Amino acid sequence: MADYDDIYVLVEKIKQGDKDAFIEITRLYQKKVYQLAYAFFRNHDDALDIVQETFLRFYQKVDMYQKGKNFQNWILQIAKNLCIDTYRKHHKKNHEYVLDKHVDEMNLAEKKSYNRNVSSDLKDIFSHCLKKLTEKQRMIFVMKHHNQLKYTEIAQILGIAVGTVKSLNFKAIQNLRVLMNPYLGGNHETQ
Amino acid sequence: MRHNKYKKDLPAFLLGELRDGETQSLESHLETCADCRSELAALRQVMQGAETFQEDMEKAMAAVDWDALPSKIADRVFQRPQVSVRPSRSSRLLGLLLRPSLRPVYAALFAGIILGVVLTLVVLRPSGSIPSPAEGVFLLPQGALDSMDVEVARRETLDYLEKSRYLLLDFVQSTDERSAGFWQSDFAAQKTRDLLSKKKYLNQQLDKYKLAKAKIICDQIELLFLELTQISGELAEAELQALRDLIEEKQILLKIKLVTKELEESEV
Repeated sequence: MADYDDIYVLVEKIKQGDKDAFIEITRLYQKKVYQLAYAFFRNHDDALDIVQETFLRFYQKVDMYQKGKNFQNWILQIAKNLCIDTYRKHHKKNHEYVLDKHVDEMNLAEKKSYNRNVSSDLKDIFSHCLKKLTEKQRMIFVMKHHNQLKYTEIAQILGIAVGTVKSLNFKAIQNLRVLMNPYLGGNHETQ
Repeated sequence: MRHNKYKKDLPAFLLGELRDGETQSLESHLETCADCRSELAALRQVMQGAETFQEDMEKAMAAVDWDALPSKIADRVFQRPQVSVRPSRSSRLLGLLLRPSLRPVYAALFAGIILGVVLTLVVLRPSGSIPSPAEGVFLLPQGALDSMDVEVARRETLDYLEKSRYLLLDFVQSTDERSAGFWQSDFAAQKTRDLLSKKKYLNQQLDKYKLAKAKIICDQIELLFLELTQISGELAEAELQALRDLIEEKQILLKIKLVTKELEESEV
C-alpha cells in the first residue's frame, strides 16, 4: 500500500480533476472497501454498489482530506457510513424477512450432527446470526475478522476507544455463540 | 465468581489476546471445568462459521474485474457535471434550501409575513403619521379621520342648538296659560327628553373637540330643559315667568344664534 505522502500527492491531483489519480486511488483501496461491504451485507451486488458509492463520495469530499491522515481509515469510514445508511434504508425491511424464511427452511436437525468440515449451512447460519447483532457489534466483528484490521484502526474508523472496540468484539462473539447455539446443538466439546 | 470471570475471558482466550498469566490461569481452569470447555467449543464453532464465510467472500471477490472497476467508477464520477464542478458549501446549502419540495412552505411563510406587516401597520400605526396605503387596502390618513369626527360633532351641535332654539322660542313667546299646557303636552315632553339625551351624547364631543363656547351655551340650555321638565299643572305662574326672565336675562336665544353662526362659519 502506498505511504501517506504518495496518497497525499494523488489526492492533490484529484482535487485538480486528475482522473488517472482517481483511478489509481480506487485501484489501491477498492478491495478493502468491497471486503467490508460484502462482509456486512453478505451480498455481492450490494458490496459492489457500496464500492462505487464510496469512491463517488470520496471525490465529493476530497477537499476534506488532510495531509497525514490515515487514508485507508478515512475511506473505510466513508464505506462504513454508507453500509449503515443503505442497511437502514433497504435491508432492514426487505432482507430480514427473506433471511428468516431461509433459516426456517433449513433442515436444522441435520445441523446438530454437523462436523467441522466447511459447510454451506454453517455459513448460512453464521450469516443469519451475524445480521442479528447490533450495527456496531457487527461492524466491529466484520472489520476485525474479515478485514483483518487492528483494534486501533477500527477505533479510529468508528471514533470510539480501543478498549470499547475490544469489549464489543468479545461481546459480538459471545452473542453469536448464543444466537447460533439452537442451530448447532450447543454441546460440542473440543477435544 | 472466578468461573464467571474465566467464562467472560473465553473470547479473548480464543483470539489469543489474554496476557500470559491470564492464559495459563484459564487453561488450568479449563482442565477442571466442563461448562467452560463446552462454552469454548461453541465459540470455536462461531469462529469456524466466520472462516467459512471468508472463503465465500474470496470466491465472490474472484468474480470481480478489479482492473476495470476503477475506470468504470471514474467514468461515472467524472461524467457528472455537478460533481466535476463541485459547488461551494454555501451554494449547496442554498440548493438544499431552494429545493422544489420546500416551495409551498416558503409561499405560506411569505403570505404570513405580508399579512403580518399589513396588520401591524393597521393596528400599531402611530397617531398623526400618514401610512402609505398597502396594495388592495384603502387606508384613510389619521388627520382626515379626525377632521371627519370634528365635522360630525359640529353638525350634531348645530342640530342640537337649532332644535333647542325653536323649543325655547315656543316657550318664551307663548302666553302664561298656554305655557303650562304646552310643557305638559306629550309632544313637548318628548322633544325635551330627546334633546336632553342628545346633550348627553354631545358632552363627549364638546369636551373632545374643545368646542368651549358651544359647550357653555349647551350646558345652560340643558339646565333650562331640566327645569322645564319639572313643570306641571301645579307650577306657579311666577315660576314660569322667572324662567322666561332667565332666558332673556342670560340672552340665551341670542347666544344660541351667535354660537350657531360661529359653528356654521367654521365648517371643516
